[in-house]
Order: sequence, then C-alpha cells, then structure tokens
Amino acid sequence: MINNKISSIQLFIILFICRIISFAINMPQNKYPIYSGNIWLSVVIKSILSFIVIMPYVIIFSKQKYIDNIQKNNALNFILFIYLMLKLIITSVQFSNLAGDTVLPRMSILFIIIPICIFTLYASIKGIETIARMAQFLIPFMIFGVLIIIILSYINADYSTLPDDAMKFTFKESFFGACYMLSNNYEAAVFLLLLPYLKDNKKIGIKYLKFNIVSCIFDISVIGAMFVTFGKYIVNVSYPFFSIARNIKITKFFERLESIYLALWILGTFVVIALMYYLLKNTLKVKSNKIYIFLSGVLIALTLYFTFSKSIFAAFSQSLFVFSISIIIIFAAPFLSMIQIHERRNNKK
Amino acid sequence: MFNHLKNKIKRFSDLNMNMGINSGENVDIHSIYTIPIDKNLEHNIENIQNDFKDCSDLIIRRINVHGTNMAVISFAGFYDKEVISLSVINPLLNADCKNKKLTTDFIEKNVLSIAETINTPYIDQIKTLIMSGFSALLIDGESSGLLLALQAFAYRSISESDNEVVLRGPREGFIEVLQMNMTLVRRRIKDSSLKLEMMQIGRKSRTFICIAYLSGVADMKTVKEVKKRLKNIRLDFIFESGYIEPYLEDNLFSIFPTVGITERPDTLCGKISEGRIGIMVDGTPSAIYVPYLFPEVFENSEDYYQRSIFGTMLRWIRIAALFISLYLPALYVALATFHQESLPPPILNLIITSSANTPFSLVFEALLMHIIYEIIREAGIRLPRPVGQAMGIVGALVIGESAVSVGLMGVPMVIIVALTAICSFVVTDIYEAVLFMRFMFIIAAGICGLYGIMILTALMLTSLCSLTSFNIPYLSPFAPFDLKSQRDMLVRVPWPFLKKTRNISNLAGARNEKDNK
Repeated sequence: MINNKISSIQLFIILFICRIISFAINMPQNKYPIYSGNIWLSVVIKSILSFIVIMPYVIIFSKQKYIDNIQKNNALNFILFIYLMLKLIITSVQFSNLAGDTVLPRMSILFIIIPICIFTLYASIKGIETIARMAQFLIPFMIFGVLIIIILSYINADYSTLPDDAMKFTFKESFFGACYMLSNNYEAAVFLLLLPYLKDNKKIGIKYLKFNIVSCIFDISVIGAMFVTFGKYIVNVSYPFFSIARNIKITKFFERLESIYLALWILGTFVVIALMYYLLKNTLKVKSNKIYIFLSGVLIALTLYFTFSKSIFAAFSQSLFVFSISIIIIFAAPFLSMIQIHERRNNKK
Repeated sequence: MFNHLKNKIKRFSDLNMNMGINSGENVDIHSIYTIPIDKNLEHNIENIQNDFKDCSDLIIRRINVHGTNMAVISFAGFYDKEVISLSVINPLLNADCKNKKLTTDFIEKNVLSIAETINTPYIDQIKTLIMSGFSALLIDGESSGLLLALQAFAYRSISESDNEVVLRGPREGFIEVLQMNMTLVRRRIKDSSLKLEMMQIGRKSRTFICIAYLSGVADMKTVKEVKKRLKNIRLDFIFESGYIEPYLEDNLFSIFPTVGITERPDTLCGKISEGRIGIMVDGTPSAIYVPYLFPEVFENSEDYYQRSIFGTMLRWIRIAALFISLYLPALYVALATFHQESLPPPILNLIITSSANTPFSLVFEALLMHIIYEIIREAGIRLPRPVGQAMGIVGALVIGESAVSVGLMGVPMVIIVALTAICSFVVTDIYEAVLFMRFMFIIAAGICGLYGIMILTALMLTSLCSLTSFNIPYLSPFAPFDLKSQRDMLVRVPWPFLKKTRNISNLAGARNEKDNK
C-alpha cells in the first residue's frame, strides 16, 4: 500500500516539466530534421505515437489491481532501471554542459555537478508528494517564462531568414524524426512508474490526450521560435533556446532574458533529477535511503567523466545503443505488461 | 546519521508517551483531583501550610462565626482587600444564622455576595486554584470548601498591539491575563459554537491555557490532535507560548514556522472563523494558532477591513517585498561578480566605480553590512526606546555615511542593504527565516553566482513543499493548487464572494490528506 499519493493533475505537471526540460535541452543536440519542414510533421507523429504507447498503461490502470503486478515484474524493473539511469546521466551531463558553458564558464565543473546531484537527493528522500508539490508550484512560473520567451522571439524575429523548405516534408524522414524525438522523451516510463501513486483513475486516458495536445502545441511553438530566430543557421547553434532568450531585444525593457530561462531551467532540472532518483530507487525495490548513496555516486562519477569527455558523450548520447534501448522500452514495455497481465488472468482462470 | 537521530527522537517521544499520569501528565482543568478535604479545619490548614512552607505570601485569615471556625486562604497581591472584606468577611461575621448549621452549601447560597464560586471536595484543587488568584473558604466540620473568584491582581490594561499596527481596525491587543484574552475573543464571536476549553500544563508552573475553536467549523480530528500534543508536553515550567510552539509543529528542525502567532484578538477570531484552532497561554500577550500555512505571511487583518482591490494590491506588494528581502543582496553579488554581461552598462559602470574604491569583495561587503545592520537592529530593540531610536540614527547615518565616505563600502551596497531591511519588515512573520536564507543566498551567490542562488532556491522550495502543519501541506493552496482558495490568496475578492471559501478544512491539500487516510 502506497501512502504517498499524487493527483492526476500533479502527474501531468511532472510530465510537462519533463517535456519542457528535455525539449529545451535536447533539442539542439540531436539528429532532428530541424532544418526542414519535416520537423512539424515529426512533432505531430511523435504525439500520436506517445498516445499509442501510453494507452496500454491507461487500460491497465483502469483496472487498478494489475498495476501492482507490473511493479512486481523484476525483468521489467531491471530494464526500466537501466533506461532511467541512462536518461538521468544524459540529462545531468547536458545540464552540466549547458551550465558550464553559459552560467559559470570560469567555474570548475565540480561546483555545478556535485550540488545538484546531492541536493536533489534531499527532494527524493522527501518523497513523490514533495516532488509533485514542487512541480505544481513551479509550473506557472515555467509556463509563463517559456511563453514570454517564445512570444517575444516571434516579435523579435527576422522572418526573411526563414528557410525555403520550412513547409516541405517527407513522411519517411518525419517518422524517423518522430521516433528520435520519442526516444529522447522518458514520459512513458515516468507515466508507468507513477501510475501506482495516483489517487484517482478516472478518465486518465482523456486527460493524457489533452496533455498530449497541449504538449504538441508547446513543441511546435518552441520549434517555431527557433525557426524564426535562427532560420537555417539553427544547426550551428549550440543552445538554441538559451540563445533565443539571449537575443531578445525589444525596446530597453525586454532584453537579456536568458536569466529567466536559466532560473526556470535549473529549477526544472532539479525536479526532473529528483524524480529520476526517486523512480530509480523504486525500480530497485529498496526501502532504505542508503541506495541513494550508490545512485548519486554512480551519477556523479559518470557525469564527471562524460562532462570532461564531451566527444565521447556526444557519440554515446546519440549512439544506436541509447536509441535502441529507448525505443525498445517505449514500444515494448507497455505491450509486455499487457501480455503479462493477460497471462496472469488466464492462469487464474 | 539522520536515521540514528530520527530513532533517538522516536525513542524519546515513545518514552514520553509511556510515562503516564504519575509523571505529571497535563490534565483538563475539570478532570479529577484526588485528595479530599479533611473535616478538621486545622488539619487542612496544616496540610496547606506544609505544602507552602516558607511561602511568605500565603495569607490565612481565621474567623469565628457563631462558634464555627473558618479560614479564608489566599495569596497576597491576588485579591482586593476591600472586596474580600465586603463580600466575604463582613457577610460572614454579620450573618443571621444563630440556630442554623453553617455548611458550605448554606454559606455559598445565603451568606456570600460573590458572583462566581466553586464548591469543591478536593484540597489539591484548592491548592492549585489559590495560586491562580482564587481565595478559598474552609469551614471546620465540612468536607468541602469554597473557591471564591475574587481575583483582583494588577495587570496591564488593554492597549493596541505594538507589533501588529493597523490604520483601520480595532485598537485592542491581547494582554497577559488569560481570562481577559478569552473575553476579548468571546466578545467578537457571540455564538455557542465558540468553544474555549481550559487546560493546565507545566508540572510546576501549572500554567492555564485555553484552546479556542468553532465547533462545526474546525476539524475535530485536528482539535483532538492539538489536545493530545498539549497533554504530552513534559515541561516543568511554561512562561510563554513559545514554550509550547515546538510541540505543535510537525517538523521541529524547519526554519519556517508552522504555528501562527498574533497579538490581535480580531486576527485570532478571523483565524478561528476559518476553522483554525487558537491557543492562548496565561501570561502571554499573544495567541498562537494552528494550522499555519506559508501563504498566510502575505495576509494581514487590515486586508479584510478595506476595499478588496487595495487588499489585493497590498498582498502583491508583500509578495514583492519578500522576494526583494530574500534575493536582492544575493542577486547583486551574483550579477556583479559572475554575470556582469547581464547588467545594463550604466549600472555596471556604477558598480565598477564604487567597488574599485572598496577593499572588500562584494560578497564579504554584503555579509558585513548585513551583520552590522542586524547588530544595530538588535541593539535598538533591547535598549530603552528613546536610546534605541538614537542608536538607529547613529547606526544608519553616522556609520553608513562614514563607511561610504571613507571607502569601506560601496554606495550601491548601502542602498541595497537599506532596501532589503525595509522590505524584510513587510513580512515580519518569517523575519528570522528570511534573514537566515538571505545570508545563505549571499554565500551561495558568492560561490556559484546565479546557479548557486537557484540551487539553494530549489532546496528551500523542497523544504517548503515537504512541510505540513497538522497534515495540511504548508504551501497550500499554491501546492497543491486550489483555485477556489485563490479568492482569498492571490486576490482578495469582496466579502459577498468570499464568505463561502473561508475554511481551511476545504483546502485541496487538506482534502487530499483526508482522502489518503
């Protein structure tokens, strides 16, 4: 029996923060077909795929008792652990790189990595309720901040630099791009692992659909902002969303908004890393908080290694291994769960 | 390490729980007293004299009424001599009762002209209540005594609270006498649903406390929990409500308070009307109340007395003041030290010019200025009022001005510290917590710039989100978010739209906690 419970709105807020963070950080560093019109279709296809892969969980969750069966599946937990650990390392390395390059260029990377890895443990130890409340508290500021940056970037944009093929697309490339985007999102795993903490299971599918539509609009808005700001030069920009915020200059009032972006992004990443820690502990089914010492040790060591070896990290994060394991988890896990539950029901009969 | 500490605390609280009534458990005022009054008056007097041996303020006045020995027992300074002579001794000596037996009942009903008496068969109740200002009348041959409510000790008159001044609203503040404070509350809520329950806590001080709540509005589980926590207090002496505050907090080690405090009866009544539970302690000119949530630091009783739009505006000003008092010095240190590119060139020039002449780093300058300011403030509070004001002027004008002209401090830093100090007095409920966090933010900004500030903010938020006050999330109604409650939080809507939302038990967080149970 789980004592810490969260509401469905808190679940979707957590997912949305994951989306904002992964999209705002990952966007420039992956092989999205960002330079062409395929990106628009990719976002839409990705949203449809997200909905499809989430649906089995929703069906399982509507029959609450089967959720516990998924939690007891050791093989699934092991795969989820590996997957979440990979995502956590990638998120923290990207965070360190961006922080090191933009916020504290003259500071040792240790001062960036160690505080966030240690302090997020405190939030994880406090439990999912605390993380959810934190997400709920932060989300208005995050949405407001991101919206301000997006809107101002549209006002500030030079539309003459828009690429010619901005509205041309091919289905094959778009599908591939959608898969790649999907592989960078860990929403499905987070959704699955947080379902048992939900208080209410009413209309969770409908709620996810609404969330997906909002997220899709958000993704398109972010891409649009990048398009109108950088045009075809987007591929050469290291941190596009950060650069958008930095480039905004409308009268003397709206300028240098990167501080807003950085503040929100650091707080958002804090929530995401704390959440990942918490979910990792759950997949290991360990009750003692001592496991966090091991998790943070591994995270700090690997983050430091990859931060100092940027080329290795670039190769690793975009490797076929990471892509494959992500796709397998995202597509296979829900259907494996369905099959497992179906078999259990048959055995009972 | 933390688990070890946690286990120690748990063992300690278990030990306390198991100590039972023999160790001096705090009891309801009307619960059982055990030692009966002896029929022999001399035995009773001896018993009391033995207990109060060497207590020079114990006064025993023996009288003989038509052959029956009696004694009026009280403590010096607790009663008015004239009143006791006129209401007790004179009526007794002049009573027309030659052929009647002088029983306690007879004297209570036919002789004494006192509004409030307690007829008790217990000598320990007499001992306890004479220390609270009652006088006792013991009669030879009677197994019961009379407690006479003749308290007339000197106390401060009701005056305006110094710490919670309002431009519009009542000018009454709580005083040190519990009974008067209870009257101030009762006068404002003339309804039978207002319950004022008395308890005594403190094994030696036997301090009276009053629990005030509205039955039917307050959550009875919370009322029960408050009583339970108060009964489990194992202190010998309670001289101020601050002694019991930690026992009402869910988290002892948090820097943020989860118990509210007010010196104004109208504020306490407002809180009680929202379903909160007020606790008044004898000898304390303020009342505490629970549950207390973080957003309440932005509220003031005056918000409800003036037009709603101004009430709303004042809340937003308080929110801004909190942010300024928390972040301004740290942001200045971070921007000027690490992120100069984010500052507009004119401001950057000003900072460079002023800091070029000062010998200290900005972070050291900020810390030093704040420490000096806090010392001046502390000295100003402790010193007699006229000297305190002079001290403030000396501190602000002489030291500040001299430090700048000599070149020890930069002008921008003096302005920032002054602005921060002013803003910190807007949200006084969490002054100490804000002060502590401000120092932490300055240090973090000095080490890691904006990154340090944001990481510390995240840590502070985690702490705030994990706190609860009687199982209600501390950040409620922001997290968990409750839209209906925003009518009296981010905005203060006019009363016709407000009245239905004013109940703390209806907050989203409170509902969630109930659901979980």
